[in-house]
Amino acid sequence: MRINPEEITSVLKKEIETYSGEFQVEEEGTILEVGDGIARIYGLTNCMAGEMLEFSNGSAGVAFNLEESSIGAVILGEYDDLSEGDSVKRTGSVLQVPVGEELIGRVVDPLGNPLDGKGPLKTDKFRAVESDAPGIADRQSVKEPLQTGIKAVDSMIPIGRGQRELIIGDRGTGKTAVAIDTIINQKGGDVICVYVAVGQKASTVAGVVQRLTESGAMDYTIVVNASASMPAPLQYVAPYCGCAMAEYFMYEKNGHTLCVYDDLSKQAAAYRQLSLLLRRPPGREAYPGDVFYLHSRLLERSAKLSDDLGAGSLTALPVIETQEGEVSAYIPTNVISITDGQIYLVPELFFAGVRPAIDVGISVSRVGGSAQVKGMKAVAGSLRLDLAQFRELEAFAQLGTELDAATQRQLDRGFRMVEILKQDQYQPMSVVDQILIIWAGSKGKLDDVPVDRVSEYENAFLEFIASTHSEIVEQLGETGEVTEELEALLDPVCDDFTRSFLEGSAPDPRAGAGAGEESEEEEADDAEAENADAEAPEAEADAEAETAADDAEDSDDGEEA
Amino acid sequence: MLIEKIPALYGKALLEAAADADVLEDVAAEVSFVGGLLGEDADLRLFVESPSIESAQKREVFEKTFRGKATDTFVNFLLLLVDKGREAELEATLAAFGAFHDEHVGLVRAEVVSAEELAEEEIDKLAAAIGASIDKQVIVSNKVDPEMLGGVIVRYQGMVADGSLRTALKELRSEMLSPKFESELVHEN
Repeated sequence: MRINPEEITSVLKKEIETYSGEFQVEEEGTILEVGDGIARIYGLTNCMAGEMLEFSNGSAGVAFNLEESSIGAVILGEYDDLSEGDSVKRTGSVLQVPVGEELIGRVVDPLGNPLDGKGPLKTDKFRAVESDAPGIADRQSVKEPLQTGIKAVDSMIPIGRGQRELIIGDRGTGKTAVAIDTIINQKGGDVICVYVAVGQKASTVAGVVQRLTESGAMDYTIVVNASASMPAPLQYVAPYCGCAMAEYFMYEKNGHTLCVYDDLSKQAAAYRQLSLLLRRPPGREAYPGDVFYLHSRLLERSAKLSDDLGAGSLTALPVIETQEGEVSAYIPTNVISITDGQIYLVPELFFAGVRPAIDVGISVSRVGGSAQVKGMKAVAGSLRLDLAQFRELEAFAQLGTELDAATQRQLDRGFRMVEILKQDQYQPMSVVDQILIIWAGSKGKLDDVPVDRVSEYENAFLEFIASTHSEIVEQLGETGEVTEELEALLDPVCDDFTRSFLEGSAPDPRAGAGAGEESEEEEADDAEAENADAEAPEAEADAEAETAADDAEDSDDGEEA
Repeated sequence: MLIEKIPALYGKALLEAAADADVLEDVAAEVSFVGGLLGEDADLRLFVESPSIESAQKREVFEKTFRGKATDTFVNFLLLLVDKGREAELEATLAAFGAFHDEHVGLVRAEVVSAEELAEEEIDKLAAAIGASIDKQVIVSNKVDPEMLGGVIVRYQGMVADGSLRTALKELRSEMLSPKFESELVHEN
């Protein structure tokens, strides 16, 4: 683009000529005290609750407490240069953020100011940060699936569009990874994603943004960042801002959106700070009385809209960090009760190498089942129960008791299913691939495959099907159903492949297992995890040997040695 | 102006007492005189506010200085403050009385900030204009702030009308930097 300096001058000149400063009478108050992100203001007698204020340094504020002779307000921005006696003006409007397509691919602060150095946002559309959730008549039940690309989630804890699914777990159990994988998996789809980072390290957020960019996910993602260094009021308001940005696409564009709030425990802490500074009475764990409403009004804004309203959706993935697995603390119980289910991540599984470390027993999805792809529902229907039984048997088997053949078979199947459900980070999988491998696992096609070669088998199998039997993949992709004909087609193909896989030049199983089980990102989780990994195959090898003794007809055991 | 609770109580009481005794205007004049004196004379302020001076001594001085020269209502008010140990609140109380008195007689005080000192007639004009808009009698005080470059800022009753050149320039600047303006530029090319 070539710009003539004279043209710029003429445009500027025109702007100056047409400028008409508006002279109007406004209401003005003065600051009585200021600090820690809050201010007490005298005056502004007509100010309304929740109204946006303008401080003399340009920072925005929101009136929180309307008291007899003063107003308690939070300052959304810098407050270091404000002092007692400075003037505060009313704006007459509620807090708003810029919304629109222009935000996609951008990293912004909660008020919509760019943080990524890519220039100003060219949008003239705004949306109120706090808005009412859609009512009963405006909604319909969740019916379309939102694929996370994570086998363990899509098979057993399916998430529907418009659902609120909590991701909960201790620090370092991969909560963010689940959310990021879900965002990456929306690539090529019709879902706009909003990732709201609250109270996180700026370096972590930068890492996430880089990851999303590398995966091409920033083409449909907005990142709202209120990092730990930002004032508490901004951290408090960030999820509502992100929600408003997503709502634009749901209401105005009839689109599908996904909102990740990472994480709400830090937002609650920021809100507690504000409330205590504003001298609102503390309650349990020093949180104010309305901390439940804080999260319920946010999560209620997730919805699947009725057809009359365009059938858009807003799916929410709130994240809560627990302390030492304490799910019965105040904030976790609150959010669990508001959401439509939870994905519970546990450190024990994580360090045993089961990643994502989802505890299938207590993770649930209360509404996603009706939105699950039919084929997945068919193949994974009994998965949850089988795994639960397996976990019980596993504990029993560790006592070293003699097991009958049927129990041993169940145990073997379980080991392989657990192996199948393991998945590397940033490697979301298409629903067709998921159905195929889970079908193979649940039909016992992998029973003869050594546990440490399952991941190798999985990759080879999916590659094999895609390259030689693309008609199966296509059919499954179109209908999403596992019909009897399809099974009849798949059955011999799968058996053939398994036979050739086991007969074929067996690569060094150790190398295969190593590559499959540990992605580069997880290498930091050093010795402990490795020990666990090393022990597991041993135990499984023992189990393998017993199987061999029991089932003499199994001819493929030769390669065990 | 923020009026604290105690000055508000005493100020209101003085207003009512003066009105009952029908000496409101006299008391108002005395209040503004003593208020001005307190602002100017540091020794007087120290004498009134210091707790180390016995209240009997303060009573005596007030009695001697004001009895006969000021209205009885005002002298009694001063003595009452001393008796109640509230003499430190004298200045705030007088200011509160002033505010209540203005309200009582329908007077509004406005502050006009300008870059240069305004002429008498300009102030009168402004007072008339503001008075017409709120239908009250207005007394205008002028404050000079060279940093606002030009124009005036008018403040009254918690309202502000900002007609300063500085604010106008600031707005023009932000308007020129706004994305709306930039997109027009691209459009023109």
